[in-house]
Formats: sequence, structure tokens, C-alpha cells
Amino acid sequence: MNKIRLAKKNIIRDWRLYLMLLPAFIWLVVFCYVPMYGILMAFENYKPSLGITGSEFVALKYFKMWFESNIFGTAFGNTLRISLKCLIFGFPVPIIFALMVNRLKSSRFRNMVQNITYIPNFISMVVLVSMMSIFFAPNGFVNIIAGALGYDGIITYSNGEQFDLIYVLSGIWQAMGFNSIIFVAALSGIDQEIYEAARLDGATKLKEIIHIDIPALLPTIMMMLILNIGSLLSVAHDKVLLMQTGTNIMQTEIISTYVYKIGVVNTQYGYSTAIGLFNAVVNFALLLAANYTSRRSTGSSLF
Amino acid sequence: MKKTGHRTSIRESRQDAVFNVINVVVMVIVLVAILYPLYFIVIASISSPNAVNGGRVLLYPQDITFSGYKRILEYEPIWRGYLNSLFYTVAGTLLNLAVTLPAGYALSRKHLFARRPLLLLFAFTMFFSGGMIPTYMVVKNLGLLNTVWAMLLPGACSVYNIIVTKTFMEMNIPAELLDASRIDGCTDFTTFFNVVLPLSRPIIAVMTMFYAVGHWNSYFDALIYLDDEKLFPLQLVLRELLLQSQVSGAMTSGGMSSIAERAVIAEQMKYGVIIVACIPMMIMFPFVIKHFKKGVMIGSIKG
Repeated sequence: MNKIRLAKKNIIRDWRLYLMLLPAFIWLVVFCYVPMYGILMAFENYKPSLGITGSEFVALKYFKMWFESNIFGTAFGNTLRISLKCLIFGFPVPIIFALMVNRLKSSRFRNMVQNITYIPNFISMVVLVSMMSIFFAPNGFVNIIAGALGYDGIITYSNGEQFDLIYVLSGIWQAMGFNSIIFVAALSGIDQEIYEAARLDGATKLKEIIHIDIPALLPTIMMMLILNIGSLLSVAHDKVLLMQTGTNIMQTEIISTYVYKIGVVNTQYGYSTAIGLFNAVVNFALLLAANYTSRRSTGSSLF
Repeated sequence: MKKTGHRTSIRESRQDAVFNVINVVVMVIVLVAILYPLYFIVIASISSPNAVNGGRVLLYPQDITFSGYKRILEYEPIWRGYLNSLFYTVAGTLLNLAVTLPAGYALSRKHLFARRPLLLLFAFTMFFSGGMIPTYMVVKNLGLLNTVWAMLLPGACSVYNIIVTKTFMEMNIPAELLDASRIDGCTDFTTFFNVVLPLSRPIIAVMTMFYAVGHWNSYFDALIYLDDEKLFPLQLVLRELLLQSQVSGAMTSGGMSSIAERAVIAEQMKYGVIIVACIPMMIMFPFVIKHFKKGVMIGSIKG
């Protein structure tokens, strides 16, 4: 009783704070929690006119349909393949870049390199993909240079075989600088005395990197790795969708682009919600698993 | 490769010298790889289309002409898209700040009753969400489809940014100062405007930048929420113009003739249009660079 009265008193005292929180709270409820309630559509033959409470309940029909459909294997496989490649090839690059930038002697050059590598991060997806469509055209500079080097054939992301490489490399081009910031900052926090001690012991720069820099980065690396694994199934659908062409669709149809097509374009709301839910649940499970593994093995975790 | 005592230091400093040279060389390659594609677009935009298509434009512009830019000036959808994007960016960012900053402040006050459950309620949505289709249904059911509100309200704030703001305020605004202003008779409103906001300039700058860049560059919300071309932001106009021709049958909105027509127009001005689309980012870039690193760093501190 006393507790309730105290709570009431606090709330009344702080009503202005709650009022300041109110717009964000309303937004949170309307655009985050109401859609979570909307997940129920996945279990219904959802008709907009009948609403969620009025539509016919179909239990797991759509999940069954999804697992049995031809597209399931393709889309799930593509999603996993593309994101694993991004993780394996894209994840180490900003770390290596940060280790190297950190070793540049001239601070002016270091700043210049960093600032320039941030530029691509501010280029929109539409512009990025438009640029790629220009560069990888038969007469684009990529193919001119490749031809001069003796490659006969055309390099283009419309070719499903070459899509992955171009997707991953363009992702690195765009995000390397941005993703390195956090590692560079972690490196700049290392105590200078450790380096001095290492130098007295005759360590080369390479040895300093291996024995001082990398261990110092490890907690940050683990944290970023968990986050990345937790979003393994959320490949940037906006980029993939832009890069899809009639010829590479079998290699580029991922779960989220498929959800967009059958949900928004074909208005099969129940089915598309079910597929989206499948995606979200796998992601969440991966995040928990990565977090758990990291906590057990390295002691650092998100939560 | 025998090592003798007194020569070790010489050999190792030579190793360091080799390391430095390799490091600088790699960095220069990185800079070229990042800058050349951007440079290419610039020189292609002022070269004659024939020279570009013939693959003769690689290092410097050929047959300089500004006809591409002239066509852009005459092509109305781009300017309409430009104005729309400016409006969405300015209005959207103002709304973002009006929602994010007060919410961040409220959540930064440790004595707020039910603060932890509220924070959890916010944070949970970063890891699990209803997904694309349920969110789309909410927007649809609210009657926002095909209105400017669809471009503003669903993205009215981001939970991540609220938490970053909250963390910044906790760490940079001393609680004693807030207590003192309360004793001086300030309410939470007057404290917020007179004490908190002036001390939060760095985070306001960072948030403005993150939100504004996001609004300017995004196309996916517009793609799913808007049908009316008069409301299209620039990115969507660009997509239709530059990339639509690569998408096969079912996905295209217009008929074959309009696609062919667009392809001709696109061919003439695709380089210039990319430059024009990046102008706001280029104007913002010095400002952005100043706050960019700081913003990423604040964000990386656990809330």
C-alpha cells in the first residue's frame, strides 16, 4: 500500500517527464508493438475487411506452405549464403584497416585517409547501385580494365555467379571506413607505456600489433561479431532489391525481398507475415546463441 | 637468417621501415579504390555520352559538354523529387529531434518511476520487431498510405537514437546541476530548455546528422508506402530512372514504351543526376565529418 502511494506520488511529481516521453511512447506502441500484435496475421487467413480478430484462424498453414514451397530453399539458402559471405569477408576488413591506419606515422595523412574512407558511407543505396550499373556495364570501366588485363567475358552483377563478389566488395567499399571508427577508437585508448615496454624488449611493429593491438581489440571485436551474427538473416534488402535483375533472380531472391513481393506487391498478408516471422525468430535465436557462446568463451556479451 | 645480438635492433628497425612502406602503399591503394569511382562519375558527367560509351573516358573528361546537366534542369520529375526529399528531410528531422531529445532526457533521469521497465520496453524492439508486413498494415489501417505522413510518422524516431541520447545526457550533464536548477524553481520543462539543451549541442548535432542523412538516402519506405509519383522522393525517382530498366516484367510500373523512353533519357543524364543527388551530402560533409566520429563513439557505449 505504501509502495503504491509512493509510486503515485513520484508519478505525479514527475508528470512533466512522462509528458516528454509520451510522443516517443505513442510512436513505440503504434509502430513497434501494434505490428507485433499484427504478427497474429501469420496464423490467419487475414482479410483487411474482417480485421485481426475477425479473420479465419488457420494455425500453422502458412508456415507449412512456406516450408514446402519451392522458394523456401532458394530464398533461405541465398539469404544465408550472402550474409555469411558478408560476415566472413566483410567483417575482418575494417579491423585490419583500423590496425593499419593506427600505425600511420603522419597524423595528417591518417586523418585524411580516415575522412576519405567515410565518404562512401553517405552515398545512398540507389546511387551506389546506379553507379555499379554504370561501372559494370559492358563498356564500363571495370570491364575495360578487366579486358585490358586479358579477361574475356563481362563482369556484371546481373550474372548470378558474380553477384556475390560484387555485392560483398561494394559493401566493403561503402562501410569499411564507418565500421573501422570503433576499432580505431579502441586502439587509441591503449596505454602508451605498454608500447614503450614492448619496444625495449625489441618488439617490431608487426609484433606489437599481434601481441598488443589485437588482444586490446578483442572485446570490441566480440561485441560487433555478436551483433553481426544476430542480424545474419537481415541482409540489406534495400540493396539486394535494387541489384535484382531478371537474370540473377535465382541467386538474389532473399527472404526479405520475397516478403516484400508477396506482401506489398501481391497483398498476401498472412503468408508474407508468416515468412517474416520465421526470419525474425531465426535472427533472434542466432543473436541469443551468439551472445551465450561469447559469454561462455570470452566473458564479453551484449546482455 | 641468423640473428646476432647487436644487429637485432638494426634488422628490426629495417623490418619496421618495410612495414611502414607497405602500410602507406596499401593506404594509397585504398584511397584510389575509394576515390576513383567517384572521380569517374564526375568526369563522365561532363564528357560527351559518346566518349563515355566508347570507353574513352578513364582518366580525364573528353569532349567536355554540359548537355547532361542541361537535360537534368529540364527534367521535371527530378526537381519535384528533389523538393519532396528536401521537405521529407527537413520536416522528418525536426520531428525526429522533437521526439528523441525530450524522450532521451526523460529516460536519463534516474529517479523516474518505472524507468527500467520503460527502457526494456524500448530496447526490446531493437532485437525483435513485427516485421515489414505488419508495420505496413498499421500504416495502411491508419490511412497514411500515399500521404506525406507515411514518410514522416513511421520513422518519427529510432529507439537506438533515443538510447544514445539518453546515454549522452547521463554522462555529460551532472545530476547536481539538474538538482540545483530544480532548487532554483525550474520545472523539468524549463530545465530541459535552459540547462539540458544548451549542454547537449554535440548530441543534437550528431542526431541531426544521422536522421537527416537517413531521410535523404532512404527509398524503401517510399517504395512501399507511396504510389503517387507527385510524392516520390528523389531516391525513388532515381531508381525509376536509372535502375528500373533492369527489372523484369512483373515488377515494372509503367508500360514498355515508357521504359524505353526512360532508358533514353537516363542514358543522357545518368552521370549528372548522380552528382546532383549527392550535392546536399557534399554540402553537409564538412559538418558531418566534425561530428561523425563522436556520434559513432557515443553510440558504441553501452546504455
